[in-house]
Amino acid sequence: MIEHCFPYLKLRRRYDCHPLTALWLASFTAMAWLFLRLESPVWQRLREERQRWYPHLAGKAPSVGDPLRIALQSLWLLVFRPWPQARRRTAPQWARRVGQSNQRLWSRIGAFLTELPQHASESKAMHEGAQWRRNLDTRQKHWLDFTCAAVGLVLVVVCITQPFNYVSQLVYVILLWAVAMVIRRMPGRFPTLLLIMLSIIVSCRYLWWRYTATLNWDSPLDLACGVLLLIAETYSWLVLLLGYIQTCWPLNRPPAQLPRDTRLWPTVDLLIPTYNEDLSIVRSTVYAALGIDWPHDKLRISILDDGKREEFRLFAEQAGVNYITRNDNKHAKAGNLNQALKQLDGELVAIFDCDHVPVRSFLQLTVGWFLRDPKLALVQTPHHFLSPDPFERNLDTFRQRPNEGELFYGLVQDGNDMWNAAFFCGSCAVLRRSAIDEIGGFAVETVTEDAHTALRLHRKGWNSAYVRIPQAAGLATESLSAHIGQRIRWARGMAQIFRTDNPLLGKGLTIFQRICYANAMLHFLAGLPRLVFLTAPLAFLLMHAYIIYAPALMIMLYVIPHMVHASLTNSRMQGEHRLTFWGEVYETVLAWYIARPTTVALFNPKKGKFNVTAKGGLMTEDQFDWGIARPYLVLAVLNIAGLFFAVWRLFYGPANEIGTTLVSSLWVIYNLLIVGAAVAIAAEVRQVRETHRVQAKLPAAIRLQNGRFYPCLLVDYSDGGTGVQLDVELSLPIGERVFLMMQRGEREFLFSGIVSRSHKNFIGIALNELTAQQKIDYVQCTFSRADAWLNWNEDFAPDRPLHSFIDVLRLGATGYYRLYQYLPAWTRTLTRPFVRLLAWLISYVPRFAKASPLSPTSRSECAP
Amino acid sequence: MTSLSMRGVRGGVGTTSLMAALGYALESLGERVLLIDMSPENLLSLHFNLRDSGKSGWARAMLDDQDWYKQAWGLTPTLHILPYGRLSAQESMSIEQQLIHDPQIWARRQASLAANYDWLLFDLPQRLPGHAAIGPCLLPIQVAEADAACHVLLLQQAGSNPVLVNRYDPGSQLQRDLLLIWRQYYATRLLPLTVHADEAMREALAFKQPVGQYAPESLAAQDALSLATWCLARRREMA
Amino acid sequence: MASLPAKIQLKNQAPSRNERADDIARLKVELRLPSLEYVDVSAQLELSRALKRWPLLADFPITDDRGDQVPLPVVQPVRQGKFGARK
Repeated sequence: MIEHCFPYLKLRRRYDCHPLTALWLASFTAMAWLFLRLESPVWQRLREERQRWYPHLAGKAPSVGDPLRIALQSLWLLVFRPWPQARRRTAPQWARRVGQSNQRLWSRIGAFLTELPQHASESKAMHEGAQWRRNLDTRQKHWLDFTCAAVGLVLVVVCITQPFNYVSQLVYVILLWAVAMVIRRMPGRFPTLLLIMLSIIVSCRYLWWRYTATLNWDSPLDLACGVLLLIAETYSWLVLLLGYIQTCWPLNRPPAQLPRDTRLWPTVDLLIPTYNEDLSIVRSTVYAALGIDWPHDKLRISILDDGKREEFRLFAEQAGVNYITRNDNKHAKAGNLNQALKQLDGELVAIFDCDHVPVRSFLQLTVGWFLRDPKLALVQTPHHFLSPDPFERNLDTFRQRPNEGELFYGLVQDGNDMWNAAFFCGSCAVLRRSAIDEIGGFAVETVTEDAHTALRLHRKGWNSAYVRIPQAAGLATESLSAHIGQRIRWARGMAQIFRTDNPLLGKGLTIFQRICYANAMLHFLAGLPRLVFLTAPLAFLLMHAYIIYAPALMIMLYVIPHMVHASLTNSRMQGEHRLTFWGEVYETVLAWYIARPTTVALFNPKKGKFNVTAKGGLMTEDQFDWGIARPYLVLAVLNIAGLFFAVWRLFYGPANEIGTTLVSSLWVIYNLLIVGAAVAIAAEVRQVRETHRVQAKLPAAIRLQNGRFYPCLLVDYSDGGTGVQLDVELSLPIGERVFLMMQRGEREFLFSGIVSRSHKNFIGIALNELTAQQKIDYVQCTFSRADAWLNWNEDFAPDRPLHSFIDVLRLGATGYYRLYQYLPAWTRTLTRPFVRLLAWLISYVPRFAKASPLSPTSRSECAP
Repeated sequence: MTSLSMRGVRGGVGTTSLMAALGYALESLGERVLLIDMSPENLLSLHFNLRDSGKSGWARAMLDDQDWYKQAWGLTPTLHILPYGRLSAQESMSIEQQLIHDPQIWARRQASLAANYDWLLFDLPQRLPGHAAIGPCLLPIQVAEADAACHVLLLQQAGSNPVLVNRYDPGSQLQRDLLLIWRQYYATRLLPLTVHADEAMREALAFKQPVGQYAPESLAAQDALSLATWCLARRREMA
Repeated sequence: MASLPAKIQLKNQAPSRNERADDIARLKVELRLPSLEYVDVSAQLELSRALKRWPLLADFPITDDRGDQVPLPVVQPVRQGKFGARK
């Protein structure tokens, strides 16, 4: 009993506490027993579950501050404790009824809004109105449209330009926000257009206000900084608007049906250009191409080898495909393609980068459109990546979130397709040979020859199409530096095209095609504006320049609606393809690097060389890419300096500037966290294996040497083997021979392999001894399956803007922590006392209790 | 009540084991099943650990002038089996004559069983046409292996009954080729599933159990379950 | 009726193992185009190779109801590596 109430000896012996500490804690425990009646059942229950209720004390050695920690946590739990269901005191009858009717009202409103578009399209009044309009003659229709447009324009201009005082502006933005939140609940395309309209009005209003009311003409420094910021803001306003136009109505083009008689199908030349890539990468592509479902007498596969390697030639001969090479390497890939085309005469040309493995249904889902539209020159399909890009790898978000390229291939090209402006991306596409001949071959003047070729095709009046079904998959860039190198090339190329073959000028393009191309190119000019945004608040904090010459409150009232509406609308339109605010992170990562090449290319398009993106490298260890991260660190240091100045100004500056200082500091903190996210991405994670494993869920079976056959689930596959999951534990020895059965279409194939790993239900099978035909069959059962990349997105959680925002901010904080971990040792010894102090302070912070564990449910994976 | 029969395209394709597996699978899906062994080999009951030296059996009862129905055994409350009985070659021929003389015997017997069972599964012998006269049958399945002999026999028989491929080995080039050819040219007759060559099926008989009980995690058991599911879907369609 | 064992469930709507493994069938389901006419060329190619591989099959050609020989598939294997007529 004494031991229980005064556990001095226990603390000394078991936890090895200092005698004074043990005395201190023991006396506290004794007083608790005395005053708090710890033996009562309530306290007993609490003490049994103390791991759950006091998680931060669970694994910790007892120390002096523990009583304070316990006290704070108990207070916290009293305030935030989740009351167990059984002991919840039932609310009084009237309160419950009010709550229920409130809930019913909201759910009825929600249901009403969700069904409103359907009701509207079915309503009689709507049909009668549409009929009435159709019965008007052309002149009356024009007058009607003209009047509506004029009235709408007048209203919009009033909304944008009318100056408001504080209260009016507040009421105005709250009303608009309320309208947006209501419209958000309605599904369909028309509410999206309404949201776009609202966002445009709010953003135009913001920009109008900025131009008319926030420039300080008196001070040259203020004016200079203000104008710089204003130019950057105008740029992002322009990109926002053009983006809305570009993606407001994604076309979602389905595949066109081919005629049943295969003799009517056109001939296709499939080209695989390569320069310095490894043969192992090209092998899978060629095997998959050999398995494309197209009549063999109408498909010709050729490897275009600029590296002139003997092993490639031998492989081409064994596999039975053409091998084409040339004397020089002028104009890199475009030159390679042009030279090869001189020897080929297929009606269509399909182009695949050497690491893009096509699926067997590729041609049957794309060529149909060429037969339907004789003026169609291009069908482009998405570039799908089966390996994580540097962002996904370093942040460990592979297959949990849409990746960086998903916005372009999932939405932007689809939107472009609506305006007949989908452009060529260099790979995974089919082009019409006569169209290429008409424009004189692939364009060689810029480093992004693909977009330039598409521009020329459009100028000549050809059409283009985009089929949004992933029909080929390749490897993403291996490291952040390779990724940035690739983007620099694209940015330079787009700026070159902007200068030499400007889509806004010249003939042959419709107005919407011009807008789409211009937006694609403007997108790459984001380097300088992003840098301006990241350093703008420092103008006030460091140099006391009023870049936005307006009271702080007014700034908030204008900026916040602008940001909120833009993210609501973008979340609605893009939510499946990019989570909100991640665009800021991607842009920040690239900003510094593309700023210079684009500016140089805008002034002098001829400078700049083609540097090939490296593919298939291996990151051998965790490292921090200091070289790449230097610009972010400079920005971070500048912003931290700004923060110090802000604190100084808060204490010593004039009183009327406190608002502005606070707003600037908030902005600086936001910038710091975004830059922190970029820093987090620079901490490269090492890759364990050379061949990339793809996760899948395919039914398969394995047969053992003794003739027993077991159904299983194929959970991953790669070039060299697969992993399967069984319903039973087989405990196979490593090195035992097994046979793997896989199905494709209606046919089954058996592959001979060896057990490489075995753990409970999971077996890894190495498939290294396949014959050439079996290797082709294997690629066609795995990478080249028609449904291989179709439901990549099924595990994605839907976009929630606020959560996404908090995620990005949290990532920023992690970035600085990672940076700290990679700093050289001497800096860590310097900062260690501070970090220890911080950790000690945080240990007092109360936590939420852990949830009670749920019982796991199991079900068979391999059920028929 | 639905009746289903299985008969080999040629002898020795594994019809009886398949029938035992199917009966077990249907019962596990909640159907009331009666397995009827129409083959003088009398092997079906061995799959269920039933050995009584052949004294019981409907053919035996017919010869000894006893009630054929009382010869059934209840393995579980919903799975019953009616063995053939041990008969000599002459005795089987005399049963054959009786059945040829009166082809409606089994049609009448089916009618009397209809109320008590959801499925009547007939395991037919490969020869003996009289024994194959079992009355109305919704799913008269022919069982084949993917080999050249069955290919020729299917051509020569030129029927329209559904065909099920048994003992399918995807490692064999000939079997793959034949299955591909049959899928193309017998598209309406060939079942969309095959039963794979799994050693568990042979071991199950040696264990005196149907494969679904002996090795429920094996591919053969899963194929039997798929077959049972297919049968239920067909019954729904044709109803 | 016997009670169902927990492991075995009769799923009316869920795709069977066969349907999940057939990539063309799943393609049609995912694209919501059940009427897409897809020609499984690789199967057709293998079929024509199969008919040539085994001499017995030539002796027993498959005939339709009127006794005419059913035509071979149109798709024939062609050796790659030809450059075509254009210079």
